[in-house]
Amino acid sequence: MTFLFKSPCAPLPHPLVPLCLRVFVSRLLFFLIVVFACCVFSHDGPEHVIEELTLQLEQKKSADLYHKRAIEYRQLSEYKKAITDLREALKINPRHFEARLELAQVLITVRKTDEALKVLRIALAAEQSAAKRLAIFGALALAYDAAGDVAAAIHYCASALELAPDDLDLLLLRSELFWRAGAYQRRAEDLESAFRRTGSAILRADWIDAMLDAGHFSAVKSDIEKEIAESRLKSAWLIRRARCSAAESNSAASHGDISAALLELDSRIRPHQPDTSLLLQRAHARALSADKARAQADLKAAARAGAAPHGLARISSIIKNMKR
Amino acid sequence: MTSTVRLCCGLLALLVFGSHARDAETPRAKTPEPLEATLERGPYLQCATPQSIVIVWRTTGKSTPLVRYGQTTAQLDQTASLKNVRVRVAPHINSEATKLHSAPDWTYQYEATLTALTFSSTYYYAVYDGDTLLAGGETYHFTTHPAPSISKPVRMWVVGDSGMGDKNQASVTTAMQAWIDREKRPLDMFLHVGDMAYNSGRDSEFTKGFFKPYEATLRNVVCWPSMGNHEGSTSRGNLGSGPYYDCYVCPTQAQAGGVPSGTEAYYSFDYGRIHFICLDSHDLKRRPDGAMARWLSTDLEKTNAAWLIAFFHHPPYTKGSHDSDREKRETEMRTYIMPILEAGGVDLVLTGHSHIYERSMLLDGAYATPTVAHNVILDDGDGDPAGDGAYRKSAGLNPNEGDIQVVAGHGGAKLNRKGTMPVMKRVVVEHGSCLIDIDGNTLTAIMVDKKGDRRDTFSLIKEGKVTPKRVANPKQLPPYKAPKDDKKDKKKEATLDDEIDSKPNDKIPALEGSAK
Repeated sequence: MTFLFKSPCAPLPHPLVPLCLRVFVSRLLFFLIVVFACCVFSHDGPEHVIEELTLQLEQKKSADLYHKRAIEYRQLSEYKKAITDLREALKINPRHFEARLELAQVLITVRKTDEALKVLRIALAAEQSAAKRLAIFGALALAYDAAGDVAAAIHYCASALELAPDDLDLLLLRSELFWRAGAYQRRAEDLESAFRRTGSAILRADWIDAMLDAGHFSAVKSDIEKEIAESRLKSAWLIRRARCSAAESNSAASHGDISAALLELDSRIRPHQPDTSLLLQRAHARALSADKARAQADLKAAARAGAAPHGLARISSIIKNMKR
Repeated sequence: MTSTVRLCCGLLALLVFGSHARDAETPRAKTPEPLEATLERGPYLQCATPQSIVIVWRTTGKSTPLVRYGQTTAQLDQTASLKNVRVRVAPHINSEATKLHSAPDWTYQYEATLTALTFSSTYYYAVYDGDTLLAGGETYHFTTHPAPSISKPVRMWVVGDSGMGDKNQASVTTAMQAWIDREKRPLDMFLHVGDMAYNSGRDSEFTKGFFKPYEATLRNVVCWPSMGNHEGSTSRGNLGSGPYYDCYVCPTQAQAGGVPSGTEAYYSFDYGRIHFICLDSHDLKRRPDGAMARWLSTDLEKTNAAWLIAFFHHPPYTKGSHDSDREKRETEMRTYIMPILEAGGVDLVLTGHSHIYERSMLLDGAYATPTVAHNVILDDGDGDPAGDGAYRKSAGLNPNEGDIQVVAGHGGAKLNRKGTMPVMKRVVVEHGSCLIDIDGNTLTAIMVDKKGDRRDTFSLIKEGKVTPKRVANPKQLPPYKAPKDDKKDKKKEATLDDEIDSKPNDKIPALEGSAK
């Protein structure tokens, strides 16, 4: 196959064939080689695909090829190379939407949020289709969130949710943003309508948390009791009930639930390589039992193990607000 | 390769003649609506529960959909109520019905939910256009799931990366069929771990790579799907739209067990005492704060099953055509999702993507990158009852007692191998598929290659109380040396298969440096 790649774009050197036909046939040949190569290599790992795309790029620069190679670099977490390729793609075709969006996403990943926002604003001004605007709004919400501008993140989250009202990740992102903005009541209302519409169990659990954060303990206590009765793993629900009991000044019940939750969590948390969500749960339980030092130790371990910033921020705030 | 040549020829014709050939996925019909409806796809089964099932079929041209069913072929004395038939239509059809993402002209898709069925019972069915029979007879039957607390033997077929519509895919299916015919033990379910419609998961590719090759199986057995990266080219998990989502009816509201996910992208279901979890490893957030991971934790909190099986496309451990130590999706599934699954007591993880068969030892906590085997293996034997003996765990679902990883990406697409993943016990570079039986406290799995030979067997017994012990230096497979060129490649693959991979199981020799 190698010979086919030597000069696919140069017109075929036959004097009797008109130039336009020769150019057409040459381009056709190149197109077929690309298609053929894509078919052959599309089932291989990123390194093979990169190798193949590099070979094609040596023959002809194309925004599509740079974009495809950037996706593969991103798969390999080679973000610098991905950014370089995406910028090349946009030099060739500034209207290449997928490349622009991909560039913004990579820039958010490497925490260059200002640059990401610049890239996304250009995209937003240029694109009218709902599908593309949805993707841009979602990326803008993430970029503003990463930049610490909660109000702007909420605004773009809302814009995205207007186009995709049942996108669960967006709904959860908005819930976190409302929490960070201190809009507890709004968060609870938003989640309630979302879980009633979608039936999603995770939105329901988040709604119950939102109700507790907003101080509506009695309104959700029966839901929590039901979950405790029906669940195999109860720690998350025991912690929620402990919060209700604490709010009712029933410290014995609260301590009992916390102890039971800690017992279950200790049996599930592996000392090395733990599940970060369980570590955060245990940090929460320890914070509720006023064990600040161990709560902080769990929080640090969760951060080391790669827990998400939102989860860390929530528990950190609970620990900070502890009475002693 | 033949399909590639055909594709190139098609493109050549398209370009040279400047034709605007009919695009099956454009929203304008190029042909007039047919006067009579003809069956185009199915019928096939979806979303089975102890008391219900969904029968899906497509016609070209509008029909009056009717399903008759009953417990003998001679007595189809029940009909699905029209209100239980969901209709979806091709995008160009002017109708109030929900639109399919893409479909050939004048496509009508009918999804009939049969309710109030008896659990563990076999029913025969036929689909009609009014009074006209479209499909039915002796081979059209299904069996409902057992009641949630009932332990019933089950046989499942696991296939990945199959959607080529070529002879390899066909041979894999034929070999599986011959195996189950010989044993007179039919399938109860079909799990597809993704890449069922090469190259881009288009509607026409689903027809060629999935519905046609598996037509006979799909009329009796539900295929529970997980989305692969190739389907992900045209379908979107966050929106639940695209040809993949057109083809399947997956539980979103815990119809079949588990907790409601609110999306078809990931879901769970029960079969008696077995809980199945399907995840979308391709295009949704895999981190612990993502909706999918949080749903997974919630789902695991609830299940009281005796067995837990998870399936998704991207393997946490592989060195086949992909390397899980290098690629982001695989690494994230290992780093973020596996801890949740293992803390929830998972027994078996089924994946694809990497075009190879790889099967692990009993492992737990192997989240490091690069993957190492030290202190993460709980049993370094081969798990074969006729070899080192079955793997063992305590009865019920218990955290961190170990699981077995199976990469079944060898269903039809071009095979490849990059190396040897340290946690693996078997590596076979040959097309094939897996048959998994669960009977009471014992799970037994075999890999049958496309020639019909059994190439691997392992078993897991869950009883009593087993205290897991970590093996500091587990016995591992010898390192893999990549062949230097294509010709040697084939020879080398065969040699490696002979040396370290299993032969037909009853002849397995003691594996050098790999057995206990």
